Amino acid sequence: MSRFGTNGGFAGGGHLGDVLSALLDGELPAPQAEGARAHLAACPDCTQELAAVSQARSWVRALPLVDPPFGFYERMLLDHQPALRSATGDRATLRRRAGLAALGAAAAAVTVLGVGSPSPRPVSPSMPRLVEAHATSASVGADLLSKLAPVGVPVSFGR
Amino acid sequence: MRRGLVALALLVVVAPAPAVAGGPAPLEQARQAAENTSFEGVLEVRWRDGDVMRSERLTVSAGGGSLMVSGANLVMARPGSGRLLAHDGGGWEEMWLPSRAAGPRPAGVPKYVTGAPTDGHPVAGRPTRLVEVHRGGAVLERIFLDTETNLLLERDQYDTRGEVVRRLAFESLTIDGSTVPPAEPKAPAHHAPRPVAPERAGSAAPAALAEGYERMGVYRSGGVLQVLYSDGLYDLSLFQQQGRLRRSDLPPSGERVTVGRATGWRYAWPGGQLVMWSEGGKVFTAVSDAPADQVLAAVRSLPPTPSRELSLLGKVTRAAQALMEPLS
Repeated sequence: MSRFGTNGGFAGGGHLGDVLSALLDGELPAPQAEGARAHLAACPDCTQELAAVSQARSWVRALPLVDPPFGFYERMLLDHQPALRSATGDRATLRRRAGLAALGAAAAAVTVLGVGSPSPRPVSPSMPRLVEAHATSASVGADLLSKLAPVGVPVSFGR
Repeated sequence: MRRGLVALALLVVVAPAPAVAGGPAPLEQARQAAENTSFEGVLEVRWRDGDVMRSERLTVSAGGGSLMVSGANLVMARPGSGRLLAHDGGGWEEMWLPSRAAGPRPAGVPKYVTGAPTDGHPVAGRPTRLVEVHRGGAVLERIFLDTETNLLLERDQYDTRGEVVRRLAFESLTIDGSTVPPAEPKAPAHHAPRPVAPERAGSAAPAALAEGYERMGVYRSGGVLQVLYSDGLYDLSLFQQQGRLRRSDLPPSGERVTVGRATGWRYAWPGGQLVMWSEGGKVFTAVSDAPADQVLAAVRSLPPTPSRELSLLGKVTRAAQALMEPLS
């Protein structure tokens, strides 16, 4: 079901979700892309997710190419050329290996996408900095001594 | 100035018959005096941190519309709401700009009652007028103003047991026109937050919290959103950023509190209270000069932060972030 109205406006009522990927890939029709951008302009959550998705893509694209293991292409060819296959006579071994590889990939996917879906990144806000930001902003239009004097004392919280 | 007038108008409006009537209210008088009086003195700051009373002495000087607080940190208020800070001999940082005007402090609810001024005890050898602020029949604050200039000479905040939890008081003070105004800092680093339209912050910036706290402004600095609230007497900033807290990263001196379904930690700082917790993939920090019970009541009135159910794309993104973070 389309998440966009007939005029291209975002009709999800929530967040863009998977639409972000299509937007980044330039796969959305112009009216829908415009609707998505309008939603982004008003939705800090989606704006942040867009930035995160974009960052993750750039990380993945920056990964170095990996050379296949020695003999990988040869084994692929053997699997599709009966003459060569009969020459090796080891088809069962290849199948076993392929099965194990598939099982490993599936386990990794389940781990990453399911059980292992990471929780939000731990952060450690600077308490003194937040205290200073509060005191200086709250001092505007207020008694300066009451609001600003405490900031002259460094905040340590017993550290 | 308007916010200050409103703040103290609250105290006047809700006062009973013998209370302050007509003329500027006490804290507004003090605000004007601090901005227009040349003085220099030593100010003691006392605050309760758990079972311990802590204190520090600061030098305060004012002249030419500027005010400087000198302790381990230097804090400066420039004319027109500029606010600057320097840490322990470091360079100046611009924390607030005159252009960052917040909205007016709330007109107020009948929350506080201000008594009529009476003679107070001398502070730093100067005669004072005493104004008491009550809530629910109990004294919340005692404010001592200089009889001659209206400068705030002492301000005491009490807990529900009637014990002092915070005190600002001059130990010595010279009031004359000879105080040299602090020099304007050269090339400060710009760290002032930028304003954000409240509608863009959405549910992250409710217009009001419990205890009569109303939103005055929304700001962003880096990845941190600040929503500034006031009840007319005290102010409360709610800071939010993406992520989660680890108890091991927090100072051990915090008192465990609950905020909604989350566990948080409360700390005392020289100017009030700080409460920190995480919920729904965000870390929240409330900083205020209000009493602890008010701060907790206000943050507990925040709407629950929904845990975002991640789409497959979101999970892949998170997983990629987690895998690549150590390499970046």
